[in-house]
Amino acid sequence: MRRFVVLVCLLACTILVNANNYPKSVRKKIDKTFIKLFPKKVVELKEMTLSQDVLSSYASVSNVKASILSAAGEELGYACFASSRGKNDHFDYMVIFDKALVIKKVVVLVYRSTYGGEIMSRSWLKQFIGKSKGEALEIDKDIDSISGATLSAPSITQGIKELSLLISDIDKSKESN
Amino acid sequence: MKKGLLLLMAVALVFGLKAQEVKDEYKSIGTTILERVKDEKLSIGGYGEVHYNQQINGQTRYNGKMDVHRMVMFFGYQFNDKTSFVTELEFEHVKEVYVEQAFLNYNVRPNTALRAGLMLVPMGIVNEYHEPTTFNGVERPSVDKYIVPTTWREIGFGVNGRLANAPLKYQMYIMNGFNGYDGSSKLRGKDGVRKGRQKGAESTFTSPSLSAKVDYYGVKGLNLGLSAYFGKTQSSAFDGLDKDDSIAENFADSTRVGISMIGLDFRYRLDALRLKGQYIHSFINNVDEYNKVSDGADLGKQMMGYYLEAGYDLLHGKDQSLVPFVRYENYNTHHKMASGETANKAYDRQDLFFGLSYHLAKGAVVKADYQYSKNGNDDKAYFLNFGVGVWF
Repeated sequence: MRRFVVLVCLLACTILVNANNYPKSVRKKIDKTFIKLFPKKVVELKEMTLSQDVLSSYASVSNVKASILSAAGEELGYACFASSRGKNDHFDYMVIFDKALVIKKVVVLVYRSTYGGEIMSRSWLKQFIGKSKGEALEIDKDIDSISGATLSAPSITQGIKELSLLISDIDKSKESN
Repeated sequence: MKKGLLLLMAVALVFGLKAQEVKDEYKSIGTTILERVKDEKLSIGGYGEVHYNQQINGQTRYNGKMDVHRMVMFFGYQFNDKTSFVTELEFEHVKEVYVEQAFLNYNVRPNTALRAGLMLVPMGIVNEYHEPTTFNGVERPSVDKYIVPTTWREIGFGVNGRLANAPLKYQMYIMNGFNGYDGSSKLRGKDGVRKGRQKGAESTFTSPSLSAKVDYYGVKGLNLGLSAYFGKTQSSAFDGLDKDDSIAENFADSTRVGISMIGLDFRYRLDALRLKGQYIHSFINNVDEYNKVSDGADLGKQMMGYYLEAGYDLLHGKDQSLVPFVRYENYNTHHKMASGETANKAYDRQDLFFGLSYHLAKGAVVKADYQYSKNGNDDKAYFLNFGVGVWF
């Protein structure tokens, strides 16, 4: 038993020292997603400025950033980054939309709490693919909830719905310009 | 010498890993995502349960019991992006005050956290997820009460996290264990190791225990859990023990038992269907010596318990939920005995529950159930249970 305790302490030390690698693993996740969704294309992100009035109408998401995705001048769609609240932590995620504003993929980038992380599961996030314009995104009705993720599942569902509506608004205003 | 070499290797490993500095050109997106304007650092929540248990019998009249079984306040404080503190303060039966959790959490990486303090032992479903709106039935399952034994929490430290590329969550903690002896033996046949729980209250520590759990959630709607626990019980007989006194040490050793537990649990949801199941098995060694220390001690060598539950949400898709359910439980704290000892058939128990959970809103539930209990002596008991539960 004592040897095992020593081993666990050493493991903890190794993890602690590498603590500053926070953003790198997140960036890797984002890159991998783009490679899978847009094979053979070098995806570039161009961040859009979002006005405060636009953002204030979406209460369930914070730290929202939206970017236009393009490759070699061809527009591919949009990527939205946002945070939503879990039990006593925020979690960060990315939603990718295609040119027709249909959700192509949802990826949870950082999940901080011990509980509710089941929303990171790819098989659960598949439910969001194909939805657009904030339609059919009600938890328990259109999206199945998860045991053990009583707060995070409704929270991310609401967040994705708001991002979907936000992107529709942005797209509409782009066209009217 | 061996320990020194091991330490040197670990230090070298640590520096080796640090040496890989990769340039991160896209740092801006990564850091902006992680920038968080924290609205509130303090979060407050809680849960509560008020129960009415009524034993019923054709021939005998029984008084019922009405109890504010639990009233729990939860506080979480976020010091910074990575550091937080979580605590749960509990009033049980109105007058008993306990601390259910009190630990410091440090997110070393997005999906890995270290924690230290008073923590819930990851064994089974209910020990970790015990808010009244998350389980059916007024009381927590009997298997969790007698075999797990819930609410099981001790002081320790460890790591938990999620794998980056697989739908797996893991927890591993080194913790204090049960106290089996404080002048007299505390563990017994009726409720196994339940009375040995120290709950972080001036707990005695003789040697550490190991607790681990892995959860799989790769299939939509399914949560699978595998838990393990290994450790010897603590004993006051080691306090002030002369290391040369082999007779006293022999006695002290006989006041301890070794516990190895394994748990398997699943939760499955498909549209309105809700299924749950759990199996816990405990292997206890040195029981023959332990039972000789105090008169009447009757701790079993093996304990086991399992349950299966099925529920159906009649209001699936709406804001409210109405879930009729049925649960069958089978548990035996005298599953196997030390040689020469006989199992008490009264400890071989079965419970059958038929009930209803009506969720008025997310976080507020009214429950009712009918309970039929039977034991190995063919003694039967019947209960009607009612309760309200909240979680906010």
